[in-house]
Amino acid sequence: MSEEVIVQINYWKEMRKELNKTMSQLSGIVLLTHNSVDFSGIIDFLNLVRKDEMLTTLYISLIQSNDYIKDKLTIKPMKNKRLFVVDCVSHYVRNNHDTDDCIYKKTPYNLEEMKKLIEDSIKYVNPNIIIIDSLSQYINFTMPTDNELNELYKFLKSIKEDVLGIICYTVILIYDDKLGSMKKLPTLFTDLILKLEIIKENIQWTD
Amino acid sequence: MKLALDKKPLELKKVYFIDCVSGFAFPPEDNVDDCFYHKPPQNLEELKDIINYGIEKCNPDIIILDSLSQFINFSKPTEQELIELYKFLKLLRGSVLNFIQNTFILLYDNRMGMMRYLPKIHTDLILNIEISKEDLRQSSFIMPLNRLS
Repeated sequence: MSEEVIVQINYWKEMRKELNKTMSQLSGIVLLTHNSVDFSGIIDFLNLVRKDEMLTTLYISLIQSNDYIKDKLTIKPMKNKRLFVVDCVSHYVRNNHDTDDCIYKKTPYNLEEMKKLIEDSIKYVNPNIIIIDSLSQYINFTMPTDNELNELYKFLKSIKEDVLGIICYTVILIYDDKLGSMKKLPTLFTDLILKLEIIKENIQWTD
Repeated sequence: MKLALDKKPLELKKVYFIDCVSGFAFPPEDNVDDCFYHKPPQNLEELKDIINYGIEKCNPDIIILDSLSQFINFSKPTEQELIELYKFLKLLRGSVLNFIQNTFILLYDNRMGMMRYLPKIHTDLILNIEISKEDLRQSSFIMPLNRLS
């Protein structure tokens, strides 16, 4: 016989009424969880962040190539944001060369390497916002181990101490929660946890 | 509910129940001080009458409805259901909420699916409680092994 026990209760507040205010003041370490956002969705989100300010954004992509990102940006341009991509997906393609708005790097093996990558990349652009897409590559919040959580907290603490400052004031960590509901919310060292819920519907095409 | 409250009592809250589950089994004269029995409402209009009945009986500060899922499914609500709901919420705001009855909590079970429609009009706050549970299956495996030894 099995018995179920409660291991975590998360309280989420619907924030549409405060959305503009929150997004226009976004700062610190922000965890953005979502159920199925693609890069277009991330553009929509970034367009809401401090929308009246011209900001440089460093986008560290572990799951989408620079080519894909640029394709999406031609369809849906980013407003008031200069995007610099660190492409960790296509580094193995020989013909790829660094450009003014993209560098190719190997995928960081762990969060310690990610920290080094951030510090190296900052030298290229001096960003206001850093986005890591995605944290799901390093941790699964449905069943994180103690060691994974310790590593994460060490990483977040070092980001807060060494990366965040007057120029770079926001680090957005994207997390895909399709793996399951988050049994552990990393409330330590994060300033805000946002949950983006996207509902899709199949369109029935008829002749 | 009484059993649950015995196990985990509420501090600083006095709870009155309107039991619409056992309403068929208990005649109105069986009402006790903190519990009233009523037939289950067929729609939100009837629910409004039950709320007014409860207010007359105990003049509460907070009213909790458990649950709204009986009347609407937010994963695919019909236009008619939404119209009825908004009419109901508007009515609560207009005639039920006041200085004494200042909070109305509508519980909704979203296990039926993601809420495609959030009732933002006429609600002041929407909270989502996400509960993670774990199976204690291990214990069921341990038992037979112990018996074997």
